[in-house]
Amino acid sequence: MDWGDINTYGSLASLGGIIISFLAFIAADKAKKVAKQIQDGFIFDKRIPQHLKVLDGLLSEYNEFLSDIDKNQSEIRTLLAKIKSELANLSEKIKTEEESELITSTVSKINKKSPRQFYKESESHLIHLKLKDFFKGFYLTSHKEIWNIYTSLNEIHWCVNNLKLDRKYIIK
Amino acid sequence: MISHNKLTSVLSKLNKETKKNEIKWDEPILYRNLQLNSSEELIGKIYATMFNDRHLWLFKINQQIQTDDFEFTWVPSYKLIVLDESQKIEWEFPYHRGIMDLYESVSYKVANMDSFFDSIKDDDNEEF
Repeated sequence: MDWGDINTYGSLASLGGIIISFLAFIAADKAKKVAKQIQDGFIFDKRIPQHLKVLDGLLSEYNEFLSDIDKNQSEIRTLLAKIKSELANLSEKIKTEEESELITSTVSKINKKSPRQFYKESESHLIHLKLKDFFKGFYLTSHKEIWNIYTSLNEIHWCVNNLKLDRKYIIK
Repeated sequence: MISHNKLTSVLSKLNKETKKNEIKWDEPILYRNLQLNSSEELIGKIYATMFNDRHLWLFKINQQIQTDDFEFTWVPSYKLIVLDESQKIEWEFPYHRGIMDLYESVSYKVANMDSFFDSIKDDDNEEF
């Protein structure tokens, strides 16, 4: 064996080393991702039922306040602030696109609508009253919008509850 | 199959119109055709209304759930069903927490609790 052969073997060995290191890096990255998925799944299983229970209680309160929206304005505003922080905690644990988008859009709706004064839309079909309501909509929040937020929150509860049930089914 | 956002919207609409007294609920006199599973028992009242020419019934049940091999527990649940003319169940709304809110709104309205609370408030005001 001359120096030329040793050089060739050395080069091949270092090339093999590089390939093995690269494969080990990919495997480690994959393992890290799997570990993160297991961790997320564990947090989801532990925390989602608690979030759903809290959201359920807050929505029951919301439903009571909807009986008289004008009288309960400040209570609704306080409640929406609590719901917002609950949704912020919840969204950290939700990894599915549809549910995340629903939570984001509902939070932005709450941010935009809850600080404004609430008003009851006119039930009349007269054009000037409809126009008046239309312009009010730029700086006030209508009862309809308060009901829309309630509907969106119920939608979130339904979707997250289904995610929980699906996951339970997969694990079984 | 009904989509979940349509279901949520319908329940919100029913709840909203109940609160605004646009839908009137009452208690059906006869409900012999209401058939529940053996693991369900009726608690409280049944409320009935007509909505878009359909008979709707709303009620609360206790449902037996198996928690372990030999352990059972009773969990309250709410049902909203559509009936035909002869009071036979045509369709049952799937589980949705909106049904519970609707039940709370309906029972509050049927019991006429608004006037009850208003009368108590008026009495207090007279004392001062």
